[in-house]
Amino acid sequence: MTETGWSERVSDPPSEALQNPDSSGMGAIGASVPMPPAPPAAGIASAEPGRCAGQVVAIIDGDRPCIGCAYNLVGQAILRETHYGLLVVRCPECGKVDGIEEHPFVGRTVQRLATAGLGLWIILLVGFAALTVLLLTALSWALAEWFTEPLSAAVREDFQRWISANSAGGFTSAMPLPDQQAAVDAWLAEVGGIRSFLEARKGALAAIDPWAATWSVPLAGLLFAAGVAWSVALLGVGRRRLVAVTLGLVAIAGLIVAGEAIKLLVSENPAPWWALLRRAIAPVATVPAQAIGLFILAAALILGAQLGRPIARGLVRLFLPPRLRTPMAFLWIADGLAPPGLRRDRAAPPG
Amino acid sequence: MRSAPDPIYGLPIVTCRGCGRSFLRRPHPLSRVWRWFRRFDLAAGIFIVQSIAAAAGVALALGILWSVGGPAGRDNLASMTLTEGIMLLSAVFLIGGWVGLGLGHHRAIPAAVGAVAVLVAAAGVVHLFGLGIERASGRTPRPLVIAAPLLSVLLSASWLLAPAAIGFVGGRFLHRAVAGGWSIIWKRALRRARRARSVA
Repeated sequence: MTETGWSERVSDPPSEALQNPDSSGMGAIGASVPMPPAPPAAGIASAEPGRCAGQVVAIIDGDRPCIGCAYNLVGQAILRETHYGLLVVRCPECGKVDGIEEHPFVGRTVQRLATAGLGLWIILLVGFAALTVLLLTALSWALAEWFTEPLSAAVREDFQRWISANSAGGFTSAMPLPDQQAAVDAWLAEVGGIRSFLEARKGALAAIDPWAATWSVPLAGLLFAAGVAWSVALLGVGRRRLVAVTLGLVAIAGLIVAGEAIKLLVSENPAPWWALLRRAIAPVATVPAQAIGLFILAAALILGAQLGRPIARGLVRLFLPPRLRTPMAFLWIADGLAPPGLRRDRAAPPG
Repeated sequence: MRSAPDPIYGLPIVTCRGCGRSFLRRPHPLSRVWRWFRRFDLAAGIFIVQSIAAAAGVALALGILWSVGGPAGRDNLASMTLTEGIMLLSAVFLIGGWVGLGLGHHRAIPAAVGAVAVLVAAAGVVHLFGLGIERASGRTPRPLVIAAPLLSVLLSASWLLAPAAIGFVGGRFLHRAVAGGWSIIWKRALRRARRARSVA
């Protein structure tokens, strides 16, 4: 296949046929490229101006607009015309004949630009990967906060009620941190630990508010959109590898989240009372809630990556008229589908 | 070497003086990439505008539904000034017009039915989301009733379908006029090109 910047793919004629205009190239093509049945006019030169006849040597199997009218020439026969021995294709819409021989560009400018473009693309992908990991970690934290908000509020209220009953108004947030730590420890000893506090109320399951899962809908939608963007950005990557890529991003986010959770669980640094209470509920509420949040967001990301290309194709079909879909044909070609606007009987050459 | 248009195909053909082999003069790869990029840019631009218009249209339609539908909507409508009423009808007309113009390349009935279906589905999602948030924030002690309030909003705002339908028909008409105009220009250009080739 010959791939050019136009996202066009042309079934390659044999190199021998390109070098020698007199050779028909039929044998080699017949071995590598599916051949359509030769038209009746094959091999007969036409003297009519603008007409073109010759042997069919291959079929254009990619997206290539006509230079005259931009009609998509995919599925058209590539002919070796008899006058000059050139490989040409004729547009069925406007009748314009276009040569399709490609010659390598000798200068280095294009190569340098291509390398620069590739580097820029890699930088963009790395940045997008970092953004996805950031979204996964930050949003899983946010979800954990929302999930555990009722429990946090109950713990704060109970502590403040206990402190106002026992410290006679002497406890303030401006107190030295060790004194605040002592007050929190005393309250925890009074209620018998955070697990006993939970069981005394609604049981351990009450630590996570199921209605807070509503918040996960827009956040999961955001990660789903990121998955769609990944699937379109990595067009050359198959579905299984796409799962591997997204799982890799989830694994990095999971490592960051786990590191933060471990830091929260083992930390013994002095802190204000509200941070100490947050630290106290972490093992029974915050850390499991964060795991649940990360799981929901990761599932949305992977689902978006799996369904991304069909969704993108559907949106292109929905919003763009057929003539404007041609430059977006890479969305179809990447999955081996017939480009838009092509009739089904021209999607693949016979044979 | 200079290339002269060949008499048979009109292509810029160059013949090698050494071996006699004929080649076609090709445009510079950069110019071809640039041409592709311009076409892609046009398509992507229209795609983005269409997407934003669709999202804005759905959001605007949902806002209008919730402001004029349901029991609270009657009070809102009653307290509306003439200017506010005209603005409301214009917004509904514009939404219908976009469905007719922006989705004009689809058949009329599927486009209209699809737009209404998307709007009803979005209303359901937003309604459920609102209920969930009220529950999560502990603001709603009332029982969880899903279908009845949504149906009430949709049915009481169903009269808005009339201005939307007028806008839709207007949008379709405009699309046909624009597409027909381009089609005529395109066909004339093709006819001219064919005539020029046959003369050559």
